[in-house]
Amino acid sequence: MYGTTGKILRVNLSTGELAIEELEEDFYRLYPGGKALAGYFLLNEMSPNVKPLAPENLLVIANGLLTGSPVATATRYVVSARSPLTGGYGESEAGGFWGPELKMASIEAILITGKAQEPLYLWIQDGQAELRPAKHLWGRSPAEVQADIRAELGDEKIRILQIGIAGENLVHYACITNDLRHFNGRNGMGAVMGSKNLKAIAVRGRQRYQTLAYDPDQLMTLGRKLSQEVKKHPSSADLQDRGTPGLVEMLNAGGILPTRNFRQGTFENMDNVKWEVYEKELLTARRSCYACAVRCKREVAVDGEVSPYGGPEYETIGAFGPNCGIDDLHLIARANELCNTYLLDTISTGATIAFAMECYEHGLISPEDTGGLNLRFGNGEVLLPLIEMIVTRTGFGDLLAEGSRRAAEKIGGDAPFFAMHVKGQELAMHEPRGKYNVGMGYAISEIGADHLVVTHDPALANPDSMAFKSARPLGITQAQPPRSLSPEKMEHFYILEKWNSFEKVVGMCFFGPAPRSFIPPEDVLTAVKVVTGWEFSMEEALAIGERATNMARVFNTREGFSRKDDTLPERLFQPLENGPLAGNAMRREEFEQALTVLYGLKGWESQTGQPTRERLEALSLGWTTGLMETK
Amino acid sequence: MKITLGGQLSYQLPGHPRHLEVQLEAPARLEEVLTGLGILLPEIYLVVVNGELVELQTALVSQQDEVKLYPPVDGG
Repeated sequence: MYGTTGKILRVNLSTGELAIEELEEDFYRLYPGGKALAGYFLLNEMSPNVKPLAPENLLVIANGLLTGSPVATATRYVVSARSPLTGGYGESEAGGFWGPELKMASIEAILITGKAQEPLYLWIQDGQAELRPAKHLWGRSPAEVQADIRAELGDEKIRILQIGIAGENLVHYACITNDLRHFNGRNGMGAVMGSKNLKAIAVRGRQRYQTLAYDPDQLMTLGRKLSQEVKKHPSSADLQDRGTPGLVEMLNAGGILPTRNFRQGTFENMDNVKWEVYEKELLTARRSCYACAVRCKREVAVDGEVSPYGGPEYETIGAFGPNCGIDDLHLIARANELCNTYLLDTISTGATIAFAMECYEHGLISPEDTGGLNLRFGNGEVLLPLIEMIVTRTGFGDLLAEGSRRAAEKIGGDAPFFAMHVKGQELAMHEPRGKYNVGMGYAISEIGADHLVVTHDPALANPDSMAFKSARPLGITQAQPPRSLSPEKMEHFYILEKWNSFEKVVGMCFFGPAPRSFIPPEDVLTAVKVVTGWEFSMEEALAIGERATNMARVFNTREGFSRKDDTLPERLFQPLENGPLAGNAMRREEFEQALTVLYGLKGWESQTGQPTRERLEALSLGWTTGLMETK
Repeated sequence: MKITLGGQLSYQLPGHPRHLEVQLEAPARLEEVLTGLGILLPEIYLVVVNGELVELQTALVSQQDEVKLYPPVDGG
């Protein structure tokens, strides 16, 4: 088998047992990494109704098929488990350097179950693994933990994945970092690690990637070509120049910059948080992930000190800035720094604070509830204290640490209306009332509101645009307006969801393949061919993506999820308050009709959203049908 | 007339300028002005003239106008 050693490391933290197994190529071709491998193991090795923070929850960490190859943006791995935030299938991807290092250490995936009696960390070196004490690392900052582990093991090249105090304290949206700067942000995977008393996974690998590839020469040629393409393509060149913070101004212009908890679509003080301010006042350098010429990561100085954790991305600026009515970019950078020190997901943290602000303004919570904090929109003074309270689960922070859905249920009254979540996960900073497929992605995603399910609508609105033309090999033939949920638009969705899911299986970033960015679909297929030696078609790629999505859907069906959970916050069916889209709303009836059309395309039952036996068998997933009958 | 090229639009022109100044002696169709500058119209998603969102196909501009152009806005 080429492209992988096929080795899986099993870790039982309750017993301390470690074991390595090898996957067969026939199996790997159906589940070739990332979310496909994760979905397979979660369905096969975990019983239904396991509590997310119980020892029996299975934590799967899996590299993508192409992760570690010299193909730009192929750096990613998935962390997957039952999510404490949603109660459903949990998944979060990250780039950086840790995944490629795991590949060079000859391990493709790690399956972790049980709970250690005392904090431990896992040390993997060139195919060997051991568990080591981590009590001395518990409660310390990521920078300290990384330095201490490297010193303890005597190697500065060790790559470290770890949780922070938020994960230790089981905050439901605690995240995971690797190399201090790259985050498995969503779905609370840090809390799952924390519940297992697993502080970190340190990795060192010395294998050369070329020894794994089927055709190393062609692979290097392709890698060089794509790296040269980065500066030529407008999308990747812009990502290199400004990174995601450049989105603030563009979304504001379109009236789709979530503002004051999604009440509004434009922010009157946007000029204070846009890229030009970031570039002038925060930026110190541009950084990259492994072998990626895009270099979209920003390094910043916070209060005059260069941060070891990287600068705020667009999502973080949006969540702590306009969505909380805050226009101080330095304060937003401090909030980012604090979240990255404690390892909290910045999207859910900012969105949950915005939810609390709206509850406060409506009198649903009082200064007595908040410990005296005045939670009015725009009051930046509360931001940092509130993050501290969430992480330490102090006072009102303990309630917010559960996420906005659970907090709303406890607050009662109209609070659930103000909780902008799907399946318990807070919306990312993209306003669906201006791009309806993004809304459908929020609604139907198995992990709860996720903005990376499909290419965003504007990219495919003009048939003469570069992005639209680059989507043709996927089977996209007709341009569609952003504010439409027509049957033709659902066909777009169905194709794009499969393609994006495939990207996650192979470990490529959203900022790599077309139509979002610069790598033509044909080159992605070529990369798979030269890495594995497989004859590989677009049809097989899309089937892999669809298979992975269906396993996640089966997982959720088994846990009791159904059509009622594929919905959107009620606010999105009401008019936006300001900006160029003022007065616009999604329409409930149109949304429900589109959902039925989409279920039909996906081979899911219209009443339940459950995959049909026929579709599962067509995807070689016949073995999963019995799993849904046990619910 | 001042033109701001948002996001990736600046990469269509040599030197990647974010801002341009154009001399207009009489009101003109924005599409024609931009085509003359070598800007690819299909790559433009949003057009803002003097703070107002307008349609590219029908926009007329004059020397004193401020024009901001944005490409399709994607996620990430």
